[in-house]
Amino acid sequence: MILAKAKQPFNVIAVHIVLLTYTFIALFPVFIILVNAFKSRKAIFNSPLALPNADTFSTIGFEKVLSKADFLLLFGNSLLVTVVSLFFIILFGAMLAWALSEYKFTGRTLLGLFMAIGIMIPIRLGTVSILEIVVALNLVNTRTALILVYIAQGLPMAIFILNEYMSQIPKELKEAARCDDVSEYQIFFSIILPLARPAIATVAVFSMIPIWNDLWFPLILAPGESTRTVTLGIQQFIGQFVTDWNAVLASLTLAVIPILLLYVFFSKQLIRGLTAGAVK
Amino acid sequence: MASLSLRKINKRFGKVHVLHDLDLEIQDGEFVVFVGPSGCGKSTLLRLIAGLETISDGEMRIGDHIVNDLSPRERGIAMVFQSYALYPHMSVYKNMAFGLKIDGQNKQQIDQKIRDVASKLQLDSLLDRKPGQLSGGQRQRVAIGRAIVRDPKVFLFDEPLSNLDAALRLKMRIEIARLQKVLNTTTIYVTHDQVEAMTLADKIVVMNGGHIEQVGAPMELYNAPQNKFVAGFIGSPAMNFLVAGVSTDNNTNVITLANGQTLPTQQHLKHGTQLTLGIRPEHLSLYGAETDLAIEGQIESVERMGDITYIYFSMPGHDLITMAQQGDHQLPIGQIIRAYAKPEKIHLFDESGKAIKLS
Amino acid sequence: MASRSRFPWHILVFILPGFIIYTLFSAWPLLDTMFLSLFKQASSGERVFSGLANYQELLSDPHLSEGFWNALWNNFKFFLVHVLVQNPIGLLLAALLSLKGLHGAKTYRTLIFIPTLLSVVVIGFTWQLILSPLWGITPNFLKSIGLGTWFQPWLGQEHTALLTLALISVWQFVGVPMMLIYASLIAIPDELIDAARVDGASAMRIFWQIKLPLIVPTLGLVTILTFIGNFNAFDLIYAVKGVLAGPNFSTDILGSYFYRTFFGAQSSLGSPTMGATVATVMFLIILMGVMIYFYVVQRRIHRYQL
Ligand SMILES: Nc1ncnc2c1ncn2[C@@H]1O[C@H](COP(=O)(O)OP(=O)(O)O)[C@@H](O)[C@H]1O
Ligand SMILES: [Mg+2]
Repeated sequence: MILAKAKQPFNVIAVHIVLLTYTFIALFPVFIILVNAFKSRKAIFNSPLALPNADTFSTIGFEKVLSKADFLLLFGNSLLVTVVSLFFIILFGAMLAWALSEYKFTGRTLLGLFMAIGIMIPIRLGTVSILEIVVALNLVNTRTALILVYIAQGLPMAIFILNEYMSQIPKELKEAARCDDVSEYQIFFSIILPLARPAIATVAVFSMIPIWNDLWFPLILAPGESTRTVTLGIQQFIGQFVTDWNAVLASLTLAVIPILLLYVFFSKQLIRGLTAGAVK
Repeated sequence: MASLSLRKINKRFGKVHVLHDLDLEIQDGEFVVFVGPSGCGKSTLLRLIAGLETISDGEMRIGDHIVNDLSPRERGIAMVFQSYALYPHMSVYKNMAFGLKIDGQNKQQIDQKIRDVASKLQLDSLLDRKPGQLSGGQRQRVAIGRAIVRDPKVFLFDEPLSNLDAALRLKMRIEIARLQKVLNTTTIYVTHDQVEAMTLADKIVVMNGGHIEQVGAPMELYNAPQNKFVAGFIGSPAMNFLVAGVSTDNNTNVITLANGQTLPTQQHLKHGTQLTLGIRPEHLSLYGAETDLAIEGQIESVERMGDITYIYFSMPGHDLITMAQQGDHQLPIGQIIRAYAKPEKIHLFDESGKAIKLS
Repeated sequence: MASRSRFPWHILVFILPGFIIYTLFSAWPLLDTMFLSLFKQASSGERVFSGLANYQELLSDPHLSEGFWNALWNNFKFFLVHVLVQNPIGLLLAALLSLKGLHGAKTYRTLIFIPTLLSVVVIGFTWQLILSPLWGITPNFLKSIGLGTWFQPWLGQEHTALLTLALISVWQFVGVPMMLIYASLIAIPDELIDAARVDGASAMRIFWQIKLPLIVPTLGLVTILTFIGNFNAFDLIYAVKGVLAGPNFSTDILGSYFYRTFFGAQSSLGSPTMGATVATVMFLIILMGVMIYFYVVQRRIHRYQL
């Protein structure tokens, strides 16, 4: 009896070496930050690559940072802005996508093109006017201003993805409902929205990351103490602490950890969302 | 050209054991068809032969060489895929030239071969087209051409006709049969369609659940299926199965049907054994002799095709019994019908499904 | 029953909320910005129409134009580094990850994508620390592999800072081309690859002659997305180098230049109308890129039905 070895048409070991090397390159900087955030200043400089041990372990950085800044507030702001924006991007995006894919009305193509501009042209380029509008509406230094801008920013991509998906929903489903005299709103909320869940997940993934990580609009529209997001907070914070390594490393760690934790739980959905378009 | 031999072939995907101890001999130039229900492992076996999957256990030879560890190319096989798998960005010509170029053949040689095969398959006018500009039937022929041009030792086909419409399928079936006769290359053809198997094969391999159920010429399988699975799988419409038992009548064993009818048998069957009796629909008749097996039931449905009539009738404790009668028969639904079968056309299977010789 | 209104109100209800927000906070501001670029702001705050004077000033006034051309040129270099480094690495990683039967592909993919998720600000500071001569991680590492003399304060030198920042950005965003290309690679039917293997093609040949030609449209898409992203990048420069994009403006790109023109920095005062002018020029550049993509690249590239 011959036990055949698994034979691949490529050099498995070489492939793993390349991938491992790159994974190392991708993770090393993050690792260094996380490790050193929990060490004393001396240890950070003397043995930056070592894991913290009984001698070197220290949370002095976190103590300093947390006493000087309200991280909970920063996170709260980021979370609020991201979640509310996401909710409305999905709701309004789905409604528009549904109207565009389902109903024939004059100006439909034009409306589609109009909304598509936002996919290609970054909203940042309208900042001068956005600021003027926000000032006029008396929304400077509010989270509402950020939310409105992020909804406008997220809608085009959301509509694009959802429209594509909704136009593939079988006609029979809607027509059966219409025969039963179900209202158009009910069709949308109780049939179409639940069916579009996979596409909605993709939209959520695509919209969430840029909102959470954005520096530009928080800096310009809502830089105030009480409305700062994490990204902006960290940026300003580290500026004050440049020479206090413990504090800098602790701030970075505080910014990274929640994202990493979320990623641990949702990476599957996230990556599925990112690759969804092609894998159908 | 080459013969092919499989010894105790096993295939596992991780913990899933897909193929179990397969033994098979294929002669040089033979047209062999693997047939069986979907998921029984036909494609997997074909891919093992192709060298696209590794053999978990066992030995495979092509000609005199053990090929377990050889790549598809080294095995000298060519394959036609269900989806045709033509390279979408290459013209028909380049599709056919791709493998030859890798073999390092020179341009003139390649050109010569392609023109040759193209004319055999009426592809001459399509050589510059991309696969996207071809119809389904044309793509199919290109896929076959791409295989032929390699001049392989063994041709492998995986359900090549299942994406075509009925008319084209028939045409291509005849074409494939003709080509194989001309080229006389050993061919293995996978299908789940028993009609394709019966019409194309020199030898049919019936598979089920990762096992080979029977190997034989089409008529051999039709006339003498070795088990109930093969009996039910080969032949269309499928064979009828009746519940039967063994009882003693005047010191001789007889087979008893549910309706009390008995059939004499010379076999030494134990009293009380449960049997299954098989009769093909085309072997049931509206008329018969005293010695024939006769069954009765109520007509549930009649399908009149003109040349042939299918009558479906119910018998308590059985699936619908199918009967095929030549010519047109107008029979009222609900009527009680009596059907006869010649004793020599009857198949018997024991409890494990193995065939028992009746004679 | 009263006669039913024929007007399809529901369509309006579906369209309006999103339409209003999008128009008010995205489309209108873009248009208004272009409009604003045709005005000059008097010191009284009043705006007067000035035609294309702002553009003329931006492109030729020695005070302004030097900075603009510098930022534009830097931005092109920034983009070039992405095209030449980010996309090939993304392609390589995607090609390896999509190999059939490769163990651990999912884990690699998940891990390599992590930097892409983090905010540019965090990434900027992280690399600043790692490359810092004070901390010594990089110099020590180079010393340990015998290249100690190679170390330079890359982020601090005029001739290396931009390249270093571009590479940091590449490091962060390589996940995007990797994912997009990966998705299009695994969409190639298995039977096609099997057919090529039966034809005797090696993994290398399959990649170059079968897979690569089939994913060219995705490479085009990745390139235009990179272009758009690079030509309104800002966060990384601002986080690492501040508004002045030092040393000596060597890391200034259009995004940071726009910010400075709008809000002012140090001695120079900001001007909304001049800011709008810069934004409009950026808009035109991006529009040009998008047009080239749609009319030249998209049309020439054939999308094969798989
Ligand atoms: N790559 C694989 N990994 C795990 N199981 C597989 C794989 N390929 C096939 N199988 C399983 O092996 C069995 C036989 O499959 P296949 O050979 O494709 O059947 P057939 O071609 O007869 O329809 C099926 O149960 C299938 O699920
Ligand atoms: Mg199959």
